[in-house]
Amino acid sequence: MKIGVIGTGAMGAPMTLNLAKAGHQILAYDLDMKKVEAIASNAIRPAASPKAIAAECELIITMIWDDASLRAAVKGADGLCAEPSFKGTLVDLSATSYQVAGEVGKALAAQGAQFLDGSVIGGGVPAARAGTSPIVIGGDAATFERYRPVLEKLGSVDYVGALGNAKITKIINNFLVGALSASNAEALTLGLAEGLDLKDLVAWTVGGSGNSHVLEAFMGRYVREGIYGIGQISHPLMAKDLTLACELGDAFDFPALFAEYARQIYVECARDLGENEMFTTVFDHYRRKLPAGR
Amino acid sequence: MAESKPRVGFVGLGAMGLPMAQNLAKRLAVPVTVSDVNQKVLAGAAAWGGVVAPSPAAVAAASDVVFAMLPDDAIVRAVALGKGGVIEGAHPGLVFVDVSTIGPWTMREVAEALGTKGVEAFGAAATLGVAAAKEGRLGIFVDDFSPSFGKVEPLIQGYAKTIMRTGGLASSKVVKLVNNMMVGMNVAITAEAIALAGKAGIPAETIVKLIRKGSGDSYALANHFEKNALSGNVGKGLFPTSYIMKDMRLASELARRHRIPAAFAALSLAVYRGTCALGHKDHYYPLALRWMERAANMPALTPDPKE
Repeated sequence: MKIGVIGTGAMGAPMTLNLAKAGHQILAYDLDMKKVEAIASNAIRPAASPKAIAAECELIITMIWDDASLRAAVKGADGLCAEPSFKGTLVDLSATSYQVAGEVGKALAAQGAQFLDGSVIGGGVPAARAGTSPIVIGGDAATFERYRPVLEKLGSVDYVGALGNAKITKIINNFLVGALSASNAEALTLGLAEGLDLKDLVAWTVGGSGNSHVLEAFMGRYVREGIYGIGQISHPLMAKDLTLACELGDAFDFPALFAEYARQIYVECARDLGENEMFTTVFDHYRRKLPAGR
Repeated sequence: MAESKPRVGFVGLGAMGLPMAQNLAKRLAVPVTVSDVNQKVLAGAAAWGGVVAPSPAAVAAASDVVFAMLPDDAIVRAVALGKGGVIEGAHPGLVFVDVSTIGPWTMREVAEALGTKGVEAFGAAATLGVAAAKEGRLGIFVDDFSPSFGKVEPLIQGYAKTIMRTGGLASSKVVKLVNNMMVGMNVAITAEAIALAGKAGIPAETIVKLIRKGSGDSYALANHFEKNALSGNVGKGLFPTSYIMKDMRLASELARRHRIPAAFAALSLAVYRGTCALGHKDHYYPLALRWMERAANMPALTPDPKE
C-alpha cells in the first residue's frame, strides 16, 4: 500500500521507518524537509506538499506539532483538501485538540474522504522505534478495521468509538502525566524538608500505594542516574497539553480543578526554569522552595 | 532481664491495632497487656492472650515495650502524656513505640516529654492496611536510630512481614505521610480525569482500561479505580474518606510548618471534604468521583456503595 506521512519528527520518523520495514511505499512530507531526507530510501520518498501526497496515497498519517499545523496540512493552499481527487483516509496521530479533530473531519468528509482521530498515549520515542506505542483510534469503525493491520505496525492499537474520542483519551492521559508529576514533586519536597533522603523516599513510595508510572519512570531514574529520563516534552508543551484538558472541561461544562491548577504550574516552570527544559524538572521547581542546603 | 523476653504492651485495639496485638501474642507466644476505650473489645481480649489493664499508665507499668496504634495526633498525645497516660507508668528501660499515622511534630513532642522521665520513644508506621494487619504481613516503617531498636525489632516481626528502617526520630511518620499524600492526591486527580472523560462521552471502564496502558497509569488507577471503584467495591471496610482527609490535613500542616506551598494537597483535601458532605465519610475515598459528578451535573459513572 502506498502510504503518506506528514510530519517526520522525533515520533514520526521512527514510525515511518517501521511502515517501510513492513513493506509499504511511503511518501513523506515535513515543514523541515531535512527531516525527510534524513530517513529517505527506496521505500521512503520525499513529497513536495501534503497536496502531492493526497494525489497518490489512499492512507495518510499525520504526526505533527499542533492544531495550526494540522489545519494547514489539511485545509491549507497546499493541503490534502486542495487535491480534489483525494477520497482516501487520514489518520491523525498528533497531540492535537478535540475541537480540531471535528473541524478537520468535517472538511475531509465534505470531499468524500475519511478521517480517523488517533493518539499515542505513552511509550515516547523508544516505543515508537520499537513499534510498540500504545495507540488509540476513534472514528468510523469499518474504516478503522480496514487500516488496522497497517496501524498495528506502529504499536498496540485500541478502537475507542466516536470521532474525537482518541483525542480525548490522549488529553486525559497527558493531564494525568502532568498533574501527577507536579503533585509527586509537591509531596517529595515535604519529605526533603523533613530531612529525608530523596533516594530512599522514592524507593519507598515506588514500593507503596503512592506509586505511578511517572514516579517510577522519571523520579526513579533521577535518583539512580541523576537524569529524569528521555523523550519527554518541554514545560510549554506540557502547559499546552494541560490547556487542552482545561478546554475540554470548558467544552463539556466540567470544572477541571486539578487541570486548571497544574497548567499554571507548568507556565511558571517555563518562565522560571526555561522554555526548553523538560517538564519533569517540575521537581526542581518545587525543590527550589526548600531552604538552602536541603 | 536481657535474657528473658521483654514484656509487651499494646494501646489501641481498633481496626488495625487489634489484629496487630493478636498476631503479636500468637507469633511470639507471649501475653500482651492491653488497654482501649472500647470495653467490648477488651471483653474479648483474654481469648487471644490479651491481659486487660485499666489505663495506658497501667500498661506501661507492666511492660518493657509499649506499642500504640491510635486514630490521631490528639489521642496519641493524651495516651502518651495525659492523665493515666504512659508517662504515669514510666520506669527505667521502658520503650514506647507509636505506630499511628500522625504528624512528625507530635512524635517529637511525645518523645521529648517521655525522655524527661527516662522513657525512650520512637515512631513507626504501618502500610498495606487492615487485610495485611489481619494476616500479620504489614509493611512497617520504623525509626531505627535508637539503641533500643534491636530490642523492639523482633517484636515488630510479630505483626509485620517487611521492616523498612527510615533513620532518625519521626522519619517513619514522614515517609508514611508523603506516601499517603501522594496516593490521596493521585486518587483525587485520577477521579477528575475519569469524570472529565465521562462528561465528554467516554465510559469509565473504557478510559480506565486505556490509561492503564498509557503513561498516566498509577497504583491508584489500578487498585482504587480498576479493581475497586469500577465494580462498586467502595463500601465500608476499605480505607474511608474521613481517613484520607485526615492524612491530607496532616500533609497541609506539614507544609505550613515548613512554609512551603502544597496546593495539590489542599485541593485534594477540599475534594474529600465535599465527598464526606455527600454522605461518603465512611466509604472508600475514590468516591471523590461523586463530588465531581455533582459539580458537573452528570450521572454517576461507577456504582454506589452496596450498603
